[in-house]
Amino acid sequence: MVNMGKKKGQGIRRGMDEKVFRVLSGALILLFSVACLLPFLRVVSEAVSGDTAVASGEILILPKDFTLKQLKFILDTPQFTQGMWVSLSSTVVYTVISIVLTCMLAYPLSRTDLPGRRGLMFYVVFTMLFNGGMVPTYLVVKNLGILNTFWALIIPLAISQFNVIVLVNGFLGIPKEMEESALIDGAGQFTILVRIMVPLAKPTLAAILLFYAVARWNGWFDAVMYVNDRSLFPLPVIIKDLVQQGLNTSMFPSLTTPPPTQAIRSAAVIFSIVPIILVYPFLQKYFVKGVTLGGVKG
Amino acid sequence: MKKLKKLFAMLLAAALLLSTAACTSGQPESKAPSSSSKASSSSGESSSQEDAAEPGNTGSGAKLQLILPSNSTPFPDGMSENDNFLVDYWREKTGFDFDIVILPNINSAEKLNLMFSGGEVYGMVFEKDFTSPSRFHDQKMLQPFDDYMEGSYFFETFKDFQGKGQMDGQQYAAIIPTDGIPCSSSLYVVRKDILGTIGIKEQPKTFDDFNSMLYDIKSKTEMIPLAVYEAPSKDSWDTIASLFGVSYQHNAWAVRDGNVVLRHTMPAAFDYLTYCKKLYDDGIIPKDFLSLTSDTLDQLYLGDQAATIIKEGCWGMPTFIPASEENSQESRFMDYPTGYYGQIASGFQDRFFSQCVYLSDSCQNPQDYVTLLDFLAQPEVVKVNNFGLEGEHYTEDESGAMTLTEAGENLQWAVYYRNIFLPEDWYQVYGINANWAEYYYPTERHSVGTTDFDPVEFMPQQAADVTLQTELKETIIDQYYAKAVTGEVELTQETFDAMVNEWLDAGGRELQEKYTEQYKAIGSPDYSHMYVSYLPDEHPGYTGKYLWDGHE
Repeated sequence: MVNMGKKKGQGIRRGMDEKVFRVLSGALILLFSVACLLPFLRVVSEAVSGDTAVASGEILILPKDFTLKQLKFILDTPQFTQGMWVSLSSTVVYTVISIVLTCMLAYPLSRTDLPGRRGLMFYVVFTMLFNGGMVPTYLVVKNLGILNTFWALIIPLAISQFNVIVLVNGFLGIPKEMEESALIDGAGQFTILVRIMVPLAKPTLAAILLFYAVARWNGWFDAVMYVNDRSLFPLPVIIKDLVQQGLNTSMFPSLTTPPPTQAIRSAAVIFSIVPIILVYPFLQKYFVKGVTLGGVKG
Repeated sequence: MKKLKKLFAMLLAAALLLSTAACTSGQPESKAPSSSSKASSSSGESSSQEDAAEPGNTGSGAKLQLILPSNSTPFPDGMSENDNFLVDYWREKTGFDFDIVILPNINSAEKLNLMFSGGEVYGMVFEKDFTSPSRFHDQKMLQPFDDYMEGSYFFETFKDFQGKGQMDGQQYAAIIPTDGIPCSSSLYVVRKDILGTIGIKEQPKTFDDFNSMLYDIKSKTEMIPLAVYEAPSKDSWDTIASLFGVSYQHNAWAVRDGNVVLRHTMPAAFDYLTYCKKLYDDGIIPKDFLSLTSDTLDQLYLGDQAATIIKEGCWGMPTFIPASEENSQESRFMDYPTGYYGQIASGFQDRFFSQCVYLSDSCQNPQDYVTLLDFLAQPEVVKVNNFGLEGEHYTEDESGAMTLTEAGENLQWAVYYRNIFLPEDWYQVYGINANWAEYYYPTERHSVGTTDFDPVEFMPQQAADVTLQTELKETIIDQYYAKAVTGEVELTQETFDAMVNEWLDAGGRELQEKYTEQYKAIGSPDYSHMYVSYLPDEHPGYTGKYLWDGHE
């Protein structure tokens, strides 16, 4: 209840309908939260439960026959640790490069006096809606000479048109007077970008950073298509392979190892999302603020 | 200043447009060679003008590209697909160098397609998908083996199988025979302890015995008698379907009166559906079977809610059986009873062919690749690829039984190179040394000796035909089968015939006619001799301990 310094009995009274609404909406949100959390909790429980208990369907929310065997197996398997390393390094490098490139494209596009701005914006938006397809993209990557290299995970998806548009709008939201005063002081465009626009657009940049980081972390299809060397496969590829093996019990397996159990698959999934869960709370406030600040303006 | 800015902006826009145009023009650099180089190769002569380190050259040091099928087994530290003792052995014995690419386990078809389209494939592809050659043949990306087959040890040794790789009268795919397990079918896994408590001491021998067993479980216990999932036209129902002679796990076609027909549309399929509906109506199978999955089925069984389960193959058994034992359950594989019509019930999951091999149209030295196939088919090379080096990876006694050393037990990664793998080797390598025997050989019992073969399995299959067959099955057959059993559609002869006619009219008739014509053109052979067991007469490593009686 809002207290605006008034005496008791003089505060804002909420009607019954508003109270009912608050209760109902609270209940719905709680239900939705539980629906989102329950599967996650179950996966966590399966990851730390005994194989037989998991296979027998005895796990609902709480673990049974607690064991860290599955997680230890994941950590001891070089594939997973290698995949984690590739994912971490590619995410960091990709995010940095993507942010830099996105800033360099978004800033000039945010200058309303840029000649040909409409045409360039159209070019950006058009490529967001239509692309050449898998084969031409593959040919471009091949002709860049980065097939089967670490850079195949970085360069092809380095700029997201959606993020460019978000950042353009973020820059547009910064008062023009800031730029003008910098110009008066003799600053060049690059100085303005680095010293004025980027610091002021931090919330938007943080949101975009999170978008890029999560996209790269979860990305697997480009890795499968552009990379042959298995030591360059990021973690999602390895997890997807593991989960797929376990789901398709009629598929001829490797024969050298038994199919992964449900418990191991759950442990692998938990292993893959831990880094994101650790980082996200620190960026959450920027995420919400940045998305709304970067919203399309007129 | 403003004018300069404008000029710069215009130049930038022009540069972007030009770069877009540049990206869409031109051909990939490593496209198909000229016809002259093909002509020189076809005459069997080497064309060794270029530097030996360049890919595609013949002669010693020529680099051969091999694209191998996917597997999830990792290489140990310090090893890779091009850097291990097996490839070194190949290099030493053949004089070739190798550029080996292993396809990923996921989206491998898309990856291969991209590699072909991007001109990345200049050598030979080993594939498990037998429709793959037809896809690339249709795009004119392959070259045939015909000019190089004469005198080839590989093609002479495996000549009986090569019909499956022929397209337009030419050998576009070389077919490698079975990886050792041609007969692998579905399994019944039953709770022998539960059956014992309700007075069932022997496994059912006939259809009536089997049916009585299910209804006894229903009336005397609280358990689901038979756990199944998905539509009755799918693989997981194969053991039940086999009771009506309509088993179709990977073998959808049959020969009836000299014609190739789809099992799902045969008259016996109506009897099968009628039986499935009865099982559903009487609560013998779960009411929610359509929404269950393989995992939830396991949970039902391992959680003491189901007394019998159908397993689609043996591959999940190494984890399923121990989990069952840990739950103090006495689980056994149950033999197929005789069928509804008194016939021997047979299930199939054929693996008569291991892989197909095809050459890229860009390949400049096809003869070298056939030479490599000849090398890989040599018995001593097969032995090295499958077992490693004697003394280092295995020891062999006078009877020929092999025992892996510690180094040999760490040769899982060699699975990528076991492309030619004879059936007798499977017993040793995987059956005994990788402990699969107790799980696999029980399934083989239900396919060995069958005479109701699938002829299409032995013929070349066009990708377009398989796609059509899959689409018709999903949209017409699976839908009808599911609805007929649950009662959403009334199961009558009329509705069944209507479904069959719908399937025929939608393209099924053309498929049947095409396959019948193809089958007759090759002499309507009888393939039942292919359904054999390779289990040695003496097999101390396999006991049959999970069979009903606990022994083979």
